Amino acid sequence: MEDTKVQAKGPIPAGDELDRVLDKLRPLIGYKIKKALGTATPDWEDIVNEVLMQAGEKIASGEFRGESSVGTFVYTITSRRIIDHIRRKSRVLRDAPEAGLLPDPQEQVERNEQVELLLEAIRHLKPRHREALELFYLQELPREEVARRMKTSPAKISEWANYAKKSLRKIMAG
Amino acid sequence: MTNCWEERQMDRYVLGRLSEAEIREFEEHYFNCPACFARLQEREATVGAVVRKTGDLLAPDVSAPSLGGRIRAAVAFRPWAAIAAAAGLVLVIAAGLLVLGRGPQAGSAPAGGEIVRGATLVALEPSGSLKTAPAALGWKPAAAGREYQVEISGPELSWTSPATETGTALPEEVRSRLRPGVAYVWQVKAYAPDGTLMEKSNKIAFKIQR
Repeated sequence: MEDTKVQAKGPIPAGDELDRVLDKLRPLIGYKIKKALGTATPDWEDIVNEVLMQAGEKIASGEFRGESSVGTFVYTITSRRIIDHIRRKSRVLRDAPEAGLLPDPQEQVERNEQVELLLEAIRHLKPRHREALELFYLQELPREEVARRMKTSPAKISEWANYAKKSLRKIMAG
Repeated sequence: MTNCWEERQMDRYVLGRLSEAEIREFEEHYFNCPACFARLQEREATVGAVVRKTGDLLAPDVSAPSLGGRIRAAVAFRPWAAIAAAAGLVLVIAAGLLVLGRGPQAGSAPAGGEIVRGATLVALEPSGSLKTAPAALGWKPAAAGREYQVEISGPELSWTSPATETGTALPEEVRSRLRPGVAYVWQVKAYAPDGTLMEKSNKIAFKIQR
């Protein structure tokens, strides 16, 4: 199992190894930044590059002494960089949207509770019904592709996905 | 590095339903665990699809027209079909009345250990959104002579217990483990005295309000 872990506490990476380790962390940093700032933030890639540059400099200069893993170290830098970005933006924010245009937080909470309930119900479906629902209906893969993966006929995929939806409605209706 | 997270916790992370401390713990974990990050990406896609399709998933099923609707559709094009449909209906109703007249056979069981889901065993309460943790679970029983077992499952909880014919009280130890705002699903199963699974009830979801 090569490269299943980005890093663990141990030797501090340097040179090409450091580049390789940081490169593997790039998608994680991007995901965390987009999740924190929203996917509409236009400069998220700039922030990712800043985090990677800062992490690379600190590791190469010896400021990072290996007391935590590189992953944890980069996570800490990412979190701080996000906070800095929010503070900077909130100081210059001029054209904030009116409160009425933002989603109602209470509605959002209730909707997420309902989604969580649905996800729990999906976990209780029979495995083949759940797989058909997730691949065919949720991920919208072609029916023939799902049938190939599940080693059955396309007609069965429709049948299982429909059965899964009916089961979900019954569970949710109580 | 902390242990890998299970799917439910990842879903709660994606939905923004974790505490600040839990978020930090999980984010620090996946920064060190490519396998968890890969699973998180998958869950993000699935949860996103469920969010987008919640309305459709919960909408009443309109794809299957009622029996009356199907007959009307057939009659609209083929008048002779009305006579056949009506005759068929009369036969079905007559057969049903005959069966009802006999009543259920005492101790009758599905042949070959076949499980009848929710034929008579119906989970009733609790369901939906509750103000407090439920004190008991109740259901409409199956045929006489069955033994019952109830199951509740949810995040960090999987509880199974023998039960009486129509319900069971929820022990305080279990009630205290039910967390507000978290979804739980429960079901009751009926067994023959020899341990054969005879019937399963419908599954019901509930959650306690925050």
